[in-house]
Amino acid sequence: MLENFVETRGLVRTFGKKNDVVKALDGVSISIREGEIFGLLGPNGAGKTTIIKILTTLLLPTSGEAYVGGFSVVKEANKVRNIINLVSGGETPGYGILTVSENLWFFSQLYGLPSSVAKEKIKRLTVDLDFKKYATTRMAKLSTGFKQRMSLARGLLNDPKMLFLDEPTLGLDVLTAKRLRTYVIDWAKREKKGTVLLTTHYMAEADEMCDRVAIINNGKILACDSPTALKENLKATPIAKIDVSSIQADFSFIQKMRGVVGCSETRSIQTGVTSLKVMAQNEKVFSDIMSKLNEEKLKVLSINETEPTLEDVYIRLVGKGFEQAEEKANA
Amino acid sequence: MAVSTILKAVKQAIWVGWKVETNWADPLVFAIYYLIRPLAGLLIVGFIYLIGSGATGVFNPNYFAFMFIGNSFFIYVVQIMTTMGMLIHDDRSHYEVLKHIYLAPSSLWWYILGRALNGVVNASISLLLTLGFGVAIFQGLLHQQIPINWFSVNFPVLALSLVLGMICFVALGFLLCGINIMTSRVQFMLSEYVSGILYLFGGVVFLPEILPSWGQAISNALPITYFLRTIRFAFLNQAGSAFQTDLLYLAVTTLATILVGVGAFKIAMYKARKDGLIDRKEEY
Amino acid sequence: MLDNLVLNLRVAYARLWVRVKGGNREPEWLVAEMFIPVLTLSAYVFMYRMLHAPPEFTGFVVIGGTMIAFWVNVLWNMSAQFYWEKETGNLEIYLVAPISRMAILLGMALGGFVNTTLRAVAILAAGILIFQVPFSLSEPVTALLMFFLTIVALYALGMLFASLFLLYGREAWHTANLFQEPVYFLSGSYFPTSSLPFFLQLLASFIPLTFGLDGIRQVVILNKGIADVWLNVLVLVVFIFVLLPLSKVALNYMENLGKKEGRLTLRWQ
Repeated sequence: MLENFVETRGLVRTFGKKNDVVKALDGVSISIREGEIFGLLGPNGAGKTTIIKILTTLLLPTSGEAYVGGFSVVKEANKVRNIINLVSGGETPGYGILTVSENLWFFSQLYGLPSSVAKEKIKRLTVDLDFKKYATTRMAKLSTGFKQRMSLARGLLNDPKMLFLDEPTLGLDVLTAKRLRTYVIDWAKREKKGTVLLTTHYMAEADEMCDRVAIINNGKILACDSPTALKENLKATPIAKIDVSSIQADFSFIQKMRGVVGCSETRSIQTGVTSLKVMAQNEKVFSDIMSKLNEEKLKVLSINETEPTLEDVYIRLVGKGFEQAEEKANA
Repeated sequence: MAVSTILKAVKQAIWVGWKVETNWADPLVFAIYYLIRPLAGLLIVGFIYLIGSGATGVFNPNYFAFMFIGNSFFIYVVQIMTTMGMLIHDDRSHYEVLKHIYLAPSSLWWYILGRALNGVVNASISLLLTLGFGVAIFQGLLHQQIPINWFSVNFPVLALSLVLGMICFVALGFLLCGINIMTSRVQFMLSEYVSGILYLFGGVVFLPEILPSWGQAISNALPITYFLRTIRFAFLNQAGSAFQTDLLYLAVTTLATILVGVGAFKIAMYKARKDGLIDRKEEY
Repeated sequence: MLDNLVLNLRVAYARLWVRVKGGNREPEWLVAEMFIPVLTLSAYVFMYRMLHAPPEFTGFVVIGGTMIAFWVNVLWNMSAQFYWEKETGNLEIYLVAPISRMAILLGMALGGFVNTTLRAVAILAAGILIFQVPFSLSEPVTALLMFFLTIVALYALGMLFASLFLLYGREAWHTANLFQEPVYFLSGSYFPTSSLPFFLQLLASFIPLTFGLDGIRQVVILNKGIADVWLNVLVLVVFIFVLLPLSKVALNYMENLGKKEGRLTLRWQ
């Protein structure tokens, strides 16, 4: 048994040419143990999908090394392909004119499954993932949620030793997302069928599913540990959630205040409230923030100390929340 | 509805069509659709004439001119049918803008008309290019005589035929839109069916008189037959041609096409609203 | 080694199955693909009749119209296919599977051939029934050989195009459009190319369909034999031996280039 089922060393990937080079990965080194669910958590554009593409042999690294199941993804790509599968959120490979079962049978043939075995497996997966009644429905007629169930079933057809899930619950309703998460956890942990690398920008998803999480930003791994340990490290840092009755105000001044470690903001149009999550060196900083908000004539609705979440870990490391990081990247 | 609103909607639709379909920004892509494809079609019929005539030893330049004009002006049918035949699918399922256009005060009618007019503009560009290159190749390079005096074209007749023809083809296009709104099962092939039938029975590259009697009956009922006859009259100045009668038939068949096309579209829109088809997205 | 072969044969069969199943599920498509070509073909037959050309020209048109079905299939369902596969996310799945991409291409080609043969037979039958084509065939084996070589050469060309367009988006679509009618013209789908000017014949000689059509017509309509069409056979064999390995090289090269440049799964280009 390999200790590390996946290993990358100093992975670098750049895109573009000469004057317009973007560094998507900047020396990424991660190790994933066999049987573990490993999460890559970061905002859009952090480099999560690039890592998955390299590990699934879809993209070559500019430099560095990467191994899956002990095989080099560059030199032994076909051996890697024998033991992996990939499920990406927001897309459903397949042929719209064929039924769900027909599509799944086709994909099973890409792994050489005898037809009888494939059909049996398809039957079981459609039952387990709760979409048996759509087995004979044309794929084009499925809703997003059922398409994603089909996609996950496809990813499990070859019993992969390593399953890559790239934002698997993107755009799904809460119940379907929960159903898929539970299934993957059972598959990897209870049935011990394989190792999982999951990319997500949903904190709760990473928290719920992953044994270990690597936080990635601008192509660099900033921290890597179990969600509990990552949050534990924040115990010494006081965190407060401050609700302010304005969604128009500019709160960037908080970031610049002395003693503030990081701040994220979530503006709710429905309630007209901005929730600020502020991490500080000590609790006195919060009174300074309150005074400053008063000075700015901003009405504070509530202030509560909170338990750290994975988002706080990110804020601690980057200084701002996902939304702000994505806004900046999009700008 | 204010005339200015309608004009604005038509203008915008022409502009959208031009941007979406023409690819004028890429010269190669523009050339593929506006010159190379139609020119290849003209070369095929031109060489069928040359090779077929060579086999019998009888060359009839008047027939060459007949076929040359017929095939070239058929571009209008192809272009308008393609534009209008794909419009509902593209805007409903691909770009997903149909419902918004439907909701806008200027109405879907004027938008479709604008897109169709863009098809007319595109076809005209394509026609001029094809005629120019066609003459250069057949007359210039292959020394095939084309008995057309390009300086004595009967422009009033040409203009009148073109106006009536365009109205007729656009009305036919509305029929296609109506069918496509109600069912998505034939949307990718409908325009090809219509173009194919009109090409075979419309006297485009041969005289309908050599068709079997039932084929001639179909031909006589089609406006394209009279459209091409009047167009040819404008170019070839054939003495004794019953051009007034053809023009009258063109007007009558155009009127019938308008009634059928517009009527079908109106019924289709009513049914679409009743059955919730206006924003039904089809996936393939 | 054997396992690998079995796996790839399974893949080719599965891709063929998808194509045949998908291609014939909608009767509207099937009918359209049989009926619409007959309309165009009929117009050209009437043109020859108008010119009082000998009856074998009718046969030329019917054979040409039939074979064009394969060219259309090669263009739209082979050359531009990876563009669609990329848009739907299927390409990514092929690329992470432990299979030869050539197996996918082979399956697409075989499936396309089966589907198109069904349509081509209908077009041919309609042409024969409507226009009483004067067939004159004394060497059916030569005719079959010509047909077989033409098809293999055509689909090999399709595989090469598919490989070359692996990285391209809409360009593949435009190129398919660019090649459609001009190849109808250059390959002499509706007339014998021997009457084309020299420079056009030169251009036409780069298209396998030109030699295939000419050979089939000579054998089936003009009652010629292998002694008359051996050059066509030879040229088609050369096409096959050049195009097939070239498509594999091109596929590997483009896949590798795509992985380097990160364009392999990039959509909406």
